[in-house]
Amino acid sequence: MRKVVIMTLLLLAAATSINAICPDIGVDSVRTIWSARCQTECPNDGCTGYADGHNCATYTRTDPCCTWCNRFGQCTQYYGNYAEVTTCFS
Amino acid sequence: MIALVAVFLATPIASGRVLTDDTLSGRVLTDAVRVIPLPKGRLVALFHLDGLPQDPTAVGALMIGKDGREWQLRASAFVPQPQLLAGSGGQIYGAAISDDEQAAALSIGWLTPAREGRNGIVVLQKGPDRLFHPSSFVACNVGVGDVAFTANGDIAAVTRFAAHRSAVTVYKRTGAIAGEFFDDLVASGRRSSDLLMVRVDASRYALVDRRNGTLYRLQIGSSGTILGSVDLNAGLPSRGTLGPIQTVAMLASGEVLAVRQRVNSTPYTIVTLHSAAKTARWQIGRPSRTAFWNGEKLSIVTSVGARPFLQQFSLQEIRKGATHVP
Repeated sequence: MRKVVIMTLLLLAAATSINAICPDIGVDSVRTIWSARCQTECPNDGCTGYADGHNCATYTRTDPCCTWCNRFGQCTQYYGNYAEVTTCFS
Repeated sequence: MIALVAVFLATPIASGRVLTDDTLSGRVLTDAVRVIPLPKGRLVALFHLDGLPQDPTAVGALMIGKDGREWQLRASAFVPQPQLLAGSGGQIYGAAISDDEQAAALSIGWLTPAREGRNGIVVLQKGPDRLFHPSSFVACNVGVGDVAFTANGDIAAVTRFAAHRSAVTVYKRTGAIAGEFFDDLVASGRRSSDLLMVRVDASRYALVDRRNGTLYRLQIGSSGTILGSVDLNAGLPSRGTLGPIQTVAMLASGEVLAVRQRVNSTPYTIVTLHSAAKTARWQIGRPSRTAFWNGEKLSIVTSVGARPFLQQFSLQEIRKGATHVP
């Protein structure tokens, strides 16, 4: 029982932590399309992290063109005033 | 009033979907000033860039792959910093991919620190990582517009600037000019942005004067030949304001598909289907923000209230909805 309580608390803490560092940035302009996608881990393309797109992601860039992960779990580019542009594409 | 009722009745009841935040490319396409279809389902959406006081006319691009991958492109990223006005973004005008899918081209423009305009074509080659990377740059001395790879891998570009220069220039990837064609084909005062160019097959192209609705059928090889023209205004209302042509497609059937908006007190979209024998016209009761043909379907981004709405029509649906113009 104690283990269950501890595990639940840990899970709650983890979820809270993710939300804290990865707030929903909302749609602050037409050009800001990413929102509430923080908690999806990206498994593909050598890109790991959270699909947020704005200052809260922790990711590993092994793909030279990869900046963020989209909701399909694929590397993508952030689209907005915070954009990181690329000079390559597929 | 009669016109209003007519437009309402002509509004097709077709499947469509509201574009929301969760529609990944939806907002991009909604915001796009133009969408250029490329091979294998890719789309390039051109959109105005905000927040650049030094460059209020900046135009960026988003390359959207069929697999959901997206690549944000800005002209400024391809220009050496000393040649670029600080804080400017430049413009991306057009994009193309070669037949063998080993090369891509982006036509761009930018401002120098002295605020002089520069134009050129960025040539990209596919690398071992299967991504296109910049490999060379073709400087264009005039405003450049749409680009298309020719069958032998050269790059045809719209290079019209006011009443000056040829409508189409063919460049080798080294930057050498292989040919300059159609000097007096289009009306004077046209700029590259007034013209759309679509490659039809190995040697034939369509060049559209968006302002007067004329489509020229061209053959471009070692020489440039005019094969004929099509009046895309045929059968359209003579009164009222017709917006510029948003997209045009040459179909395998030989027909020409064109989309434009009628801008009056009740704006709506006009889809026309032209063949040698007849013209058919279809009205969609919502104004089109942008439209594009991907080889299978016509996509039109309209609005339902303030919400963007995407409608897609097959050629069969268009034929069914369109009425013959006498």
